[in-house]
Amino acid sequence: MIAPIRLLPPSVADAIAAGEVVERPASVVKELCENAIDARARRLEVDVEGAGTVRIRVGDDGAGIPAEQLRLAVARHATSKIASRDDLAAISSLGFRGEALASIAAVAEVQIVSRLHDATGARLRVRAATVLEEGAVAAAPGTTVEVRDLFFNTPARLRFLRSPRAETAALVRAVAELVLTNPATAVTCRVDGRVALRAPGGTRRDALSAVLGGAAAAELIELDGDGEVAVGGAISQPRSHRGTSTGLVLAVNGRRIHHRALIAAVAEAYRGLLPGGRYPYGLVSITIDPAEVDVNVHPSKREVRFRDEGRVFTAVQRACWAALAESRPYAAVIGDPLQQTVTLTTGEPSSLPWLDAVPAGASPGAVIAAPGEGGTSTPVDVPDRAGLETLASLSPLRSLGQVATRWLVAESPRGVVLVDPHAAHEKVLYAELLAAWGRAGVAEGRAAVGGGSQLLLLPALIECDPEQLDRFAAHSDFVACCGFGLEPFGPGLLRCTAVPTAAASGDVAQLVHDLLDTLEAGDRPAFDRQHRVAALVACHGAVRFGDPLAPAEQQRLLDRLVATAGGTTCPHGRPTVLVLDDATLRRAFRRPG
Amino acid sequence: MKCTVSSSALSSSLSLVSRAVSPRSTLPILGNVLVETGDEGLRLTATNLDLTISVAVPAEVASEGRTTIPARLLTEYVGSLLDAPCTLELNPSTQVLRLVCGIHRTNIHGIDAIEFPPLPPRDTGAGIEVDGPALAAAVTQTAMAASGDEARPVLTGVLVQFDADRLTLVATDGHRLAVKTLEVAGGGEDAPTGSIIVPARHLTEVARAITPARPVVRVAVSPSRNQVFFTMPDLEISSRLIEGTYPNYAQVIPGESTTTVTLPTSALLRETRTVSVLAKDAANVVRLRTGDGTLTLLAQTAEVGDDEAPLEASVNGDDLHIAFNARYVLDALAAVDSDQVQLSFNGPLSPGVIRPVGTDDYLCIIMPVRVPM
Repeated sequence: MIAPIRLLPPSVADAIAAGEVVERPASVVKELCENAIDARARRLEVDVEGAGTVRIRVGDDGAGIPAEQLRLAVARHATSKIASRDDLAAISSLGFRGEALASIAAVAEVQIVSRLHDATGARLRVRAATVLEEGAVAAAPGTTVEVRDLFFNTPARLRFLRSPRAETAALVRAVAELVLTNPATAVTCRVDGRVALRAPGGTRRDALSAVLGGAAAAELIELDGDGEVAVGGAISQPRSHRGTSTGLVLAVNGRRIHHRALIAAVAEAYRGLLPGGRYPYGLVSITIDPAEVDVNVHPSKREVRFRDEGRVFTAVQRACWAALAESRPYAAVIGDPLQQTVTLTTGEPSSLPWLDAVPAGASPGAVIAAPGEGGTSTPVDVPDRAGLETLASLSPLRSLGQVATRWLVAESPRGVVLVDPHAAHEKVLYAELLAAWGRAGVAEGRAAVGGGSQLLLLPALIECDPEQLDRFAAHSDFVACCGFGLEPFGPGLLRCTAVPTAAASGDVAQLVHDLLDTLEAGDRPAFDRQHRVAALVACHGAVRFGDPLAPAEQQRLLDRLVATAGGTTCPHGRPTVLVLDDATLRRAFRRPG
Repeated sequence: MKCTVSSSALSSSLSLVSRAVSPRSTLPILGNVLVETGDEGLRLTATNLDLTISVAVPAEVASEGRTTIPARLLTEYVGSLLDAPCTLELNPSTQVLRLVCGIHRTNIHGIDAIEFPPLPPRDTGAGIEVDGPALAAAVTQTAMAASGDEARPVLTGVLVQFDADRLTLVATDGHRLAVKTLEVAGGGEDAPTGSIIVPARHLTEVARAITPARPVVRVAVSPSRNQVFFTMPDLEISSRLIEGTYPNYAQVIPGESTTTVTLPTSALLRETRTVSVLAKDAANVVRLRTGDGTLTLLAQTAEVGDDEAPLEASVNGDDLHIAFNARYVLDALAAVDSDQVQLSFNGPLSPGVIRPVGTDDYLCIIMPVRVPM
């Protein structure tokens, strides 16, 4: 027999809706912190126990909730943030749906203690949407929300949580992202009594320093894009990178978002600057007219839609390119006891005052520690000079010679510079090729030949497998534009009659094989394909590592490198130069500066 | 072993053989020079297993013997001595060579000659005699076109082809080709036939060793056809041959031409060198444009600058606009030994030919570069 249709009781409806907003402990922390920030909190304390399933406590010094409205606060679709439908079109607060507290209260025991600045405190205790206790209480101004026994009535959700360690990491990351997007708020996050993250509340730099650690934050370049789509924040130097892409935080109007296309825009700006499998980190913060962006796409507001996505994409890319054009070369760091090492402990319990003293002389820094490792301390290197040289500042770069037919040693105003001749030459050729191809319009397939193409006196016959031949057929016009003269020459054979001049001196068969393998991955965007082929040709054309260079050649290579934009890394992202500046050498030789 | 030699003769001979010393060999003995007494006096030999150079130094030999001495040390040391008779005496039990020269009493530790690799059997095969300076010039004119890329070993060599009354040297790196023909006196019945491929680097050492004192070079190929010997009165250089099939170079030499340009070699060489300064950052590409009575050289580098240089020339045939790697043009022009040079072309995408005017024993073919004109 089929059951009749009926309206679900509120408790069931709440539990279903809660699932959308409160996926895991990290979402509880995120929602509570956002409420605090919407309440204009200047200080925020987050305490977590048992990976958030035992207790989450978020205290702020914000506006507070009037005692008579406490019950309303935990009701669904009750909010102070918007009032009418028109407000939805231009939301400036982080929250607006009026669902968070209600959802949390549906799946946990929630106690809210709040006090307006000019009133006495009030308390409300709710368990699974049922009011347990209510009354006046002594409290500091602001609101403290304590969530216990999260998911006690939804065992399925509890079972699907990941390991305590993973949940804790997600939780601290949520706080860290909030710190980045709201740098003015002082935040202390404790996990099982230990400080996992502490931000002093100040500039964006302070926030980045707090989240990433001082050394990593010193490696950031400011983004500075004005206009209707303003792009701010800071992204990492090409010489500094991470193994995962989660270190890059996107924010729109102060709201942390996930946006695949914008991440791609940043990644494209780094193309040819980072080693394979490494990612940039930092914060890309977009400021845009709220009417241009729709945040009401997903209950947790992780995703947003832009009215004109292309414009935002371009603005982000422009800002990143502009910042990266001034990227700095790798600076040598010589392990040394004299080097200033700041150790930040993550152990001591802390109470008010909210902000504990930071070790003197250090930039404020903390680490997202993996909790559960006890009171370990994490050293954070804070070099007093974080290699602030740009490649242009190394000019004039004077060659001193070549070590063991490998490394070039050069002298610059900033100190001794070591150069990998292959990587340097590779980058120079790569940049020249891209410039020549750009002028000729190779990406659009317009030109007959971009750059130059050396015709071969003795055409090379190249044996290819069927897949390589297919790829050649798919890209034959493009490779011709790049300067390759390739034509089918019977079954399984290609005849090569010309190669790009940049790679003319190498092994033709190997070059063509590598070319056909490079073209492998199907429908890549034209820019990407061009980048890969240019990198390949440059790699084949560059002096090989271990080839001796005449003094005149060494100097010429250095001159060309200094003139090359982004010359600090080769097209595969490996460094081209290493700066041993005076301060580094003094430290190494124990010579007081 | 005990003998007396002139320190200057010893020094010049050491610098000759040390060209075959491999400084970074995994076999320490190959860093040594073999010093032994023989019929002609003192004989010095060095080898890197591919190239062996052996030279005789006039000496008064008191007693026979042989040892090996670190080549770099001995060369540097003897080179710094004042010219004076130098007495070499070996203590066979310690392998210490004692040099007495001027005020110096010097002991240098050597390695027993037993460890020196066995040398290729002496020149016993078929050979011909070639004029020394002519061979040296021919090597210089061709070896520059050989490839430096080990990926195609055959092209790192120079093809040496023996005909009844001619010796032809050919080298190519796939972008250019140089061919030089030498007249030789009939070699008789035991003259070598066919062709061999000699590493270009080794041939250059032969050319370097040829001096007026060594006017004739005997070129011989070992019966097993894996070694070539260049024998001069006091000197023998042997080289391993490169195995493989040399490309059929004859088929790439163009027969006809649609444009020919004749002009003074030195002027073209000088102006090409000047123009190429503006081509350095543009893959070293110089363009040649023929017009009425002029050959115009052009170079252009985006965002750097450009140069245009019209040269007076005798021009026949179609107007042409063609581009080359400047280095190939400069190498070829430097190899042309006549006052006037002739350039001939078959359109912008066909090989260009550079040859001296007045002789037809040399030509250099260069493949053009295709650039947006």
